[in-house]
Amino acid sequence: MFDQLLHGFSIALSTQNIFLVFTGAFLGTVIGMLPGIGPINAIAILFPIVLQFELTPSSALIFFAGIFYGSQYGNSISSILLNVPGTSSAAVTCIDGHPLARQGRAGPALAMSAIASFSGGVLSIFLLILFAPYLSKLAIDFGPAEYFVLMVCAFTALTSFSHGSFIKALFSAILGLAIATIGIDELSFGGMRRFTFGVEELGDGIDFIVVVIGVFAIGELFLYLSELSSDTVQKIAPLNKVMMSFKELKESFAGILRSCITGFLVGVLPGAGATIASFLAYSTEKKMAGASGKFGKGDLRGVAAPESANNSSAVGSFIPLLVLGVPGSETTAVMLAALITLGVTPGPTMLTDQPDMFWGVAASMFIGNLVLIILNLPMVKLLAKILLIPRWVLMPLIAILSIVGVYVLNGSEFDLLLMLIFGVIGFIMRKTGFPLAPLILGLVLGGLIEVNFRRALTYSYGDFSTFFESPISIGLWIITLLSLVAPLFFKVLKKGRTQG
Amino acid sequence: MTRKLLLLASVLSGFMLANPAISMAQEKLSGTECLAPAGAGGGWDFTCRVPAAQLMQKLNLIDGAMKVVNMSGSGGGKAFSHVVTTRNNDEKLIVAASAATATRLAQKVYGDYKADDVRWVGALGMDYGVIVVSKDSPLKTLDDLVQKFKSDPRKAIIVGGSSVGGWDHIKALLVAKAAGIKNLRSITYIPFDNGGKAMLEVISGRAAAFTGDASEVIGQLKAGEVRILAVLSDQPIPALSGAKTAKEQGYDVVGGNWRAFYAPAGISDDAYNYWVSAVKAVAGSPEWTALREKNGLAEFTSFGKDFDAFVRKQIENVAEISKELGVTK
Amino acid sequence: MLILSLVYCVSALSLDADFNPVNEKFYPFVLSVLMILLSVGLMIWPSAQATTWPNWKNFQRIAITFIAILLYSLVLQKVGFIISAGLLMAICMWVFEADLKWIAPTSLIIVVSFYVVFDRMLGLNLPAGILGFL
Repeated sequence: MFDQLLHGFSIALSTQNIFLVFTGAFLGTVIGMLPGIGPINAIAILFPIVLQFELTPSSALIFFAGIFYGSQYGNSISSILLNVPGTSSAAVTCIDGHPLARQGRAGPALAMSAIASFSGGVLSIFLLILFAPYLSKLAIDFGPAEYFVLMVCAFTALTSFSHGSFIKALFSAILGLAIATIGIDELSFGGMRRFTFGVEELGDGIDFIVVVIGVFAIGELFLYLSELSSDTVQKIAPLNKVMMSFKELKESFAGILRSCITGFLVGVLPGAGATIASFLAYSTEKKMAGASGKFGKGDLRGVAAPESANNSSAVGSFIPLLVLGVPGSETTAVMLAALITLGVTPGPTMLTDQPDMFWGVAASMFIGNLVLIILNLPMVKLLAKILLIPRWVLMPLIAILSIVGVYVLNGSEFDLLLMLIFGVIGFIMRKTGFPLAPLILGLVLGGLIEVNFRRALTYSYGDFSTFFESPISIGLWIITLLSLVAPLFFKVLKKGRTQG
Repeated sequence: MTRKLLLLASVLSGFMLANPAISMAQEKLSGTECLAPAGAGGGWDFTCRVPAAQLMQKLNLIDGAMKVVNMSGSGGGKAFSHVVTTRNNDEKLIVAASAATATRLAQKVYGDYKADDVRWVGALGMDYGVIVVSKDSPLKTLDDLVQKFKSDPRKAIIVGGSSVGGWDHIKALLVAKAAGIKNLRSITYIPFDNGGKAMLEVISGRAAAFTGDASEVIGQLKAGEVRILAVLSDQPIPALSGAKTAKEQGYDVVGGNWRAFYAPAGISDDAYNYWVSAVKAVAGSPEWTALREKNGLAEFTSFGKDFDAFVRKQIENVAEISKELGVTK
Repeated sequence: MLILSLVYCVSALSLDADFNPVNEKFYPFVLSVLMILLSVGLMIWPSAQATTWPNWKNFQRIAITFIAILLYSLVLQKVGFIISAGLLMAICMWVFEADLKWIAPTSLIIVVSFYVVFDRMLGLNLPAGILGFL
């Protein structure tokens, strides 16, 4: 295996491929900073160039992987600095990243994001190399019933977002689930339109990014306006140190490791996705930190966990792609379509047909992550300065970024109106103390919970025992229970200790 | 001068299988646009970006670059109504289409719009339908599957990558119908996000059979994970070695997912013919042939009037079976 | 909140389908019941958090921004990106108390650079509108 990896490096280190990884990572970062366009657009737009230069499939995939990573990092930049997440998984980074930026700690937050992404990425590449063939079996064994239980398990992450009223958090989450049911139902005969209230455009459902940009960016804009020049002016504190302290780095490290494993496993499953990985990692870390953390109000660990998880889930998602030929995310689906056009037959034979590809990609992931951290750590200082732009330029700029991002998503003016409505909802929710994170969690899980629930029951002809049949489901139920009970148990334990 | 010669050569190569009477004497259009009715990265997007934008420029069929615009919404319905209502006379516009476009027109997903509301230009290739089972499946032939449909439908759940009532579902039901099954709703179909994920359901043994396109199964077929029960083509397909067609097994069902273009209804005949010959030239070019084969698409060329008739026929068939299924009323 | 939940519940029940877990009606119904229960729960145990609503001046600012974005969405297709986004930017800057002399040049530069990056460089189409000749 070591030989193969070396061979992989010899492929990845060719001048052309280094150039590709570098360009990909750079373009990806820049594109990722712009909300609304992500790696999917970048790959589709750049694809004709790949054809033009007649790149080999390995080189093309190396290029794409660079774009993929770069754009994930770029996304976290706009999430932290401006509270404008470009993808759903970056929304989790906003929760702690943006408060940090407001406290003048944009530098450490960005640096932490770079370091966590790098560590998560590199560690998960080891996992990829070591376990790829075994883990592909996991992807096959996961049926609709197992996915349903996994989503329920992810849903318990909710409990970690309920500072204050648990009822409010739960209501937010269920509102998210309910919003996800809007649109044409693919599982019913003739595609029933649900909750569209006769509005043609609602047929396709509400795009996730529209809601996220609405509640976060536009909601933030309104919130800022509502407090303008009153006593509670929330000024962005002057920039402090660029780097975090060594102690903080040490504190985060175990979390990065845990999040990396969670992210990787979730990434391997073609039906789950990076957002779920980020949420699970975030809530685990929050629970682990207990009362000692400032999670939700700006904790570096709250940036480290989702960043590590979403990078490692990106690596994980290459397993079903490369080993089974099944794309796990929209991004890998686009990559696969591109590879097909280059003459690669997707499927289990890809590893034997194109051994160069697997090892070359694995090696170039190392290099890509290295390039990103080299590219980005020195940039942190410069990027953090964006916040020094006077607010009368910065805030309108956020508005323009949001409206452009939402528009280019589907080229639809209707989405702009929706974004505005969600901006108002986000504003009211903040004012009345409803947490936003559960809404996003519900929205992400909504479609997946329902669709897998119904698929599973269709298989079993309505028999609910299908959810308790496989060892995987039972294991996941146990984890779900533990994550609900464990915090209580810790509390009792602590009480006992303080009293005794 | 050399440019003209090149143009001539590329056009001639396209004419090997086409009608030489159509001339390209007309001025080449500039500022052309291809509308992909879905977001970046899908089949329609590919149809616009590669055969249209890239090859038409490379083969010198258009003047300058072709702009690709993505307009997703209502499964292509948004783009369709956009073309009919606001771009009806735009001679510089073509739109990517496929069997899914026809299916949705037949099922009135696009509201009251009909095939007449646009002009069908031509098709570039066809991804024939297949029905596939896992390598360990007790089902050996299409007859076995049909028997299972009749005797124990609960153990004959089929899966695919399109929604309920979508083209993958319909293809399987066309087979069931050809076998004389009356209650098409007795056959359970579960949709997944894409063909690849649906196929995992078959490989794991949760579902009995997969209905999809040839290009989706080639990989798993080569790895020996799945077996093809039937290909829904007229002739056996070389890339799917040894797989029998449904016709050979006594079920007269042919169906596949074609890649094609339509243009607005209000354009002049000259403009229409211009696009027909441009698509013809691409379809006949060695560049496209190579790409088409890599993408697992079989040769399928149909242009102008012939293609128009083909689309109408398909819409008729789908409308009929959708009615029986209760998808449309 | 309760009203919202009830609307959702009623429209869930009015879906034309059999009541069966596999069908498209069951799941939204479960959600709506939960939402109603939670809304009632919140009325019984209101949370302690005090809400400070914006003062009148800031409320006006929010309203102006809201209307500006609303108008932007409505005229974008016809007027085109550069003009409508330029105006939106200018209004937002005014709301944020920008120095008047900076408003015009800043919004122009920012909006044009957005147009160049998205439309020209990335090939993502922003409507050109009445400046279509550019």
